[in-house]
Amino acid sequence: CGFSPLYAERGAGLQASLSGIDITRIESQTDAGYLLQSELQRRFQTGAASSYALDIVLDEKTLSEAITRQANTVQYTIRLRADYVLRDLDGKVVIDDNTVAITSYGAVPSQYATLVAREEAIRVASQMLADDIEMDLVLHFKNAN
Amino acid sequence: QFSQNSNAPIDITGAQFEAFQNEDYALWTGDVQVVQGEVILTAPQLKIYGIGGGRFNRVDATGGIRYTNGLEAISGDRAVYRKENETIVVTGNVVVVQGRQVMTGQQMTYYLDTGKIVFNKETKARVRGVFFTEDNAPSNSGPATEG
Amino acid sequence: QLAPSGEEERVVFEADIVTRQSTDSPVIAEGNVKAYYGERFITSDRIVYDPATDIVTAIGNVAITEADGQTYFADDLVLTGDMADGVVNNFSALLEDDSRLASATLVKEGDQRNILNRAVYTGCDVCKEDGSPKTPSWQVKALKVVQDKEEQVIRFRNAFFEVKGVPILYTPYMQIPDPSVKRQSGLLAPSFGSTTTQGAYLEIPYYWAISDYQDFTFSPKFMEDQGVLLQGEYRINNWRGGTTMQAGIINANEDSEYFISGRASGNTPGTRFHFFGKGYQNYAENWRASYDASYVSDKRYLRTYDISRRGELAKDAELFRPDRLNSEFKLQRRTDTSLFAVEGLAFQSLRNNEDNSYAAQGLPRIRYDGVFDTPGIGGQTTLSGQFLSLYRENGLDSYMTNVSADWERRFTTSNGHLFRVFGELRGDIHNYQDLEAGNEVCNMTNLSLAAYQQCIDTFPIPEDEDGTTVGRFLPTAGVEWSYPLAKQTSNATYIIEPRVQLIASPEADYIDEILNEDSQYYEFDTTTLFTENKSAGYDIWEDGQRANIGLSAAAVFNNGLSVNGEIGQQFRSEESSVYSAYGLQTGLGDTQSDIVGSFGVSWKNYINLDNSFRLDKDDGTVRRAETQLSGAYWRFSGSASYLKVQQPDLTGLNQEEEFVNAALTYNVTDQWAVSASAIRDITADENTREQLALIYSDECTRIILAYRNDPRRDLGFDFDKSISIKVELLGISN
Repeated sequence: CGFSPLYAERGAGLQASLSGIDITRIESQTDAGYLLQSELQRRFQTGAASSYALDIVLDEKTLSEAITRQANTVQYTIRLRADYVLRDLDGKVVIDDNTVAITSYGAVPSQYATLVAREEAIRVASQMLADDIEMDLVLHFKNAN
Repeated sequence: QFSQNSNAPIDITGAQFEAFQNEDYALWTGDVQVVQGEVILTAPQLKIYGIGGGRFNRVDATGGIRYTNGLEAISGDRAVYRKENETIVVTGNVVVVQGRQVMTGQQMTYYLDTGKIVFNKETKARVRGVFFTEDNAPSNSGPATEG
Repeated sequence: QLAPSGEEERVVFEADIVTRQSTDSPVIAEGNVKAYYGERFITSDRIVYDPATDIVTAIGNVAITEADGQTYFADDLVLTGDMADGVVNNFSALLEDDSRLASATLVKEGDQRNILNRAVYTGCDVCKEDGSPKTPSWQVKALKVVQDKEEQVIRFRNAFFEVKGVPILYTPYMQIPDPSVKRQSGLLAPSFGSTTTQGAYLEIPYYWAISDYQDFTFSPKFMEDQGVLLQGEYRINNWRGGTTMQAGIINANEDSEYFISGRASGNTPGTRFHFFGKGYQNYAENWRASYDASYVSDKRYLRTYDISRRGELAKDAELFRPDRLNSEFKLQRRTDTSLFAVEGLAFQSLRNNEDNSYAAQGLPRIRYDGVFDTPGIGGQTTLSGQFLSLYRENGLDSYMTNVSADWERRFTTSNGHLFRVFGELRGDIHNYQDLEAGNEVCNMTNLSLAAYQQCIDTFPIPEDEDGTTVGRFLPTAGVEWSYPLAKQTSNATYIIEPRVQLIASPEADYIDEILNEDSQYYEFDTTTLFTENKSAGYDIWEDGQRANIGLSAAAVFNNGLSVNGEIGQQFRSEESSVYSAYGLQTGLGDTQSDIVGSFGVSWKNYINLDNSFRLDKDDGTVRRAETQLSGAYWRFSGSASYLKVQQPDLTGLNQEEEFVNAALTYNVTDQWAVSASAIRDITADENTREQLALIYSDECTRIILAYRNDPRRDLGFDFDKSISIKVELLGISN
C-alpha cells in the first residue's frame, strides 16, 4: 500500500549522514538542554567526521493548569519548545523548523517529590523533542538521497 | 586700475610681449605679473584689449590666475577684468581667502569699487566655504588676522 | 565635542550662492545651505555669518542635528559663532526614542541647557501617514520647559497633562529623564487600584541607576487598609553573571486577627517580609553557580499584599499566586557528555494544611551523570550516581545513595528494522533517622493520635536507636524493536511506527523496607509508555518481566494540516504490587495495564489540539484525560485546557478532579482588546479564578484595566475581588 521502511538502506547514505551531525551546546534553565543534547548525541553517535551542524534553542515554560478552591495548584504543565536549524558545512540552512513537547506533573504532599516529578516530566519532554527532531532529520535525508 | 581706490601706475612684466595693433589687443605670456600699488595679479598668459590710446577696457588672464590686494587672495583658472563695470569675473576652481574666511566655487564676481564678492550667479556648482569663529572670547570681536 | 574655550572652531559650509559685500562684511550663503561645525550639523535656506559680531544666523527651514543624534527644527535660529548660545523660533525636536518636544521659542544657553517657552511634549505620532495633523493620545503642555543636558532631565513648569486634547491633570512641576539616556534615575509610572483585602492602593516606583551595571528600584506601596509596605528591587550584572533581588517589609497592624480552620489563632505577626532572588555566575571550565530563591515571613503575606515575583523573576508557573515556594542553590559543571551538580533544595508551603516543619528539605543533593563510548562491545555506557540527604525539622531524616551503570547499543538492519539493546546495574543504600517523628503526611499536626499511630506502623521498622539502613541491588535488561514505515505522496507524508519493548528485572518487593519519598507522583500515558523504569524518582523501582507495546501514526499535509495518534499498553508476566502498595493510581501493575492513547491536530497556527487519555482496561471508562487547545483566527485568539485526573488526596480517598481552564482575547480594533480568562473546578462546581481585562495600546500608550475575582476561600480571607489600572506612557514611564 505504498509504505516503505524509513530506515531501509539502499546505499549507506542515511546512516552516514545521520552520524555526521555535530550538535552545538544547548543552553537551558533546567536540565532539558543537557538531556536533549546527550539523547541526540546518543542517537546520532557523532563519532564520524561531522558534515552538518545542528543548532537548537530551547524555550521552557511551566504553566499552572488546575487550581482547587483552597488556592492550591494541583497540576502543572511543562511546555518545551525547540527551534532547530540544521546547516551544512558551508553554512547553508538545510532544515529550519520547531517542535513542542507537552508533559504534565501533579503536586503531591511532599514538595521534594513534586520537584522530582517535575524533573521527570522535563526528562520525558526532552525525550519527545529528540524523537521529533530525529524523525524530521531522517525524513529529510531520506528524500535527499 | 585694479584696486578700488588707487590710480597708482600699473607695471606689467612678462617673458614675451606681442602687440596686435589691428586687432587692438596685446598679449603677454610666460609668468606675467601685473602690479599696481599692493595689488598683484599673476597668470601664465595675459591679454589686454583696447590698447589703443593707452586706456584698456578689458583684460583676460588665463592658465591659472592669482590675485591679491593685501587683504584678500583670489585664485582661479581664468579671470576677466571689465573696466565698464569695474568687475573681475574669476571662473574655474575659484578660491577666495579673506582674513580667516575661505570660500571656493566655480564662478565668482568681484566688484573692485566696493570689494563685494558674489559666488555662482550662473553656474550650478556648489560653493563651499570655511569661516573661523571666536569661541565667544570677549576680548576681540573682529576676525583675527594673524597668519 | 566643543573645542576647549579660546580655541577657534572651524565652520565648513556649502551653499548654492555666497555673497559678501566687502572683506569684513557678513558672509551670506544661500540656497540649500549645509554647515558642519564640530559634530553639529545645520541645514537651512540661508546662513549669514557676521565676523564683526561673531554671530551666525540661520534663516528658513532650519534643522540642527546635535552630536548625540537629536534633531531640532526651527524657522530661524540665531547662534553665536560656535553655535552654542542662541534663540530659536518655532522650535521642534524629534528626541531619540521618537518622542517629540516643540515650543514657540527656544533659548540655547551654552551647550548644556535649552529653555523652551510654551512647549509641548508627547511620545505619540503627531501626524497621520498622509502628513495631516493628528491629536496625540496624550501630550504635556507647559509654559516653560528646561532640557538640561548635564543632568539629563527634562523639567516642566506649570504643565497640563492632556489626553486626546482634553486637559485632565495640572502640575506646577514635573521632571522626566531625557529620552536620549538609557538608564536614568527618576519616577516610573505609578500603578493603583483597589482590592477587598488592601482597600485602595497606590504604588510609586522610583528608579535609581547606581552605575552602568547596577540599579535599584524603590517602590513603596500605600494601602488604605494595610498601611505602607516598603519594597525594592536591586539588580547587578557583570559580564559573566548577575543577580536580581526583590524584597519588601511591613510593620503589620497588630489587631487584625487571622484564623486557621475556624479557630482564632493569634494576631498577624508584627513585621512581615518577603524575599525573591535569582542569579548566576559562570566560571572557567564550564563551572557555574546559580540560585533561585523565594521566602516569606508567613503564609498569608503574599495574598494580603498581592505581592508576586516581577520582571525577570516572574515565573510562568506563578501565573496565579503560588501556594508553594521552591528555592534552589546550585553549583554545577556541565560538559557535552557529563553533568555534575551540588544542590541545596529548600521548600516553603503556603498551604494551610501543610506544616513546613515536617517538609523534607534536600540539603544537599549531589548528582553526577556521564556518558562514555564503550570499547569492545560498542554502544554507550552512562555512569550516574546521587547522594541525597532529606532533612525535616520535626520529622524523620533520610539519606539515600545511588550508583548505576546503564549500557545501550543501537542497530539498524538494512531493511529498516531498528533494534536497541540495553541493560542497567544499580545499587541503592537508604538510611532513615528517628522514623517515629513522621513526615509530610504522617505527623501529629495533621492526624489524630490513632491515625498517626496507624500510619507510622507502615514505616520501616527502626532497627536500632540510630535508625534503619537498607541496601538493594537492582539489575535490569531489555531489548526494543521498532519498524518505522513512511509513505510520501504529492501533498502529504504518512508515517506508521509499531514499537515493542521487552524488559526483565527480578521480582522484588521493597514496600515495607523503603519509604516512598521521591516517587509519589507518576503518570502512565503515551509519553511514558516506553520509559524503562516507570517511576519519577529512585524509591519506587519497576520490577518483574514486562512488555511495552505501542503503535503510532502521523499524517503531515503540505497545506499545514497535521494529524497524529498513538495507542499502547503494558503486559506483565506477573502482577506487581509496587504501584498499588504505595497508593498510586497509575493504571500499572496488573498483568494488563490500562490502555493509553493520544491524538493531536494542528493546522498552521489557526488551531492546535493535543489530547492524551487513559482508559480502564476492563470497562474502558476514562481514568484520565488531558486536552490542550489553542488557536487564533481573525481577531480572536484563545486557549483552553481540560483535565480529568484521579488525585489521591491526603486520606487516600479516590478523589476525581475535573478542571477547565479557558482564556479568550478579542481585538476589537488595532488599539482596543478585551480579554477574559477563568479556571473552573468542575467537581466543586465553581470558578476558582476569573479575570476580565480591557486593554488599550497604541504606539505611545498602554492602559490595562483589569477586574479579577479570586473566589478562593483561604482561611482568614473572604472573596478577593480586585480592580486595578496600570498606565504606561512611552517616553515617560517605560
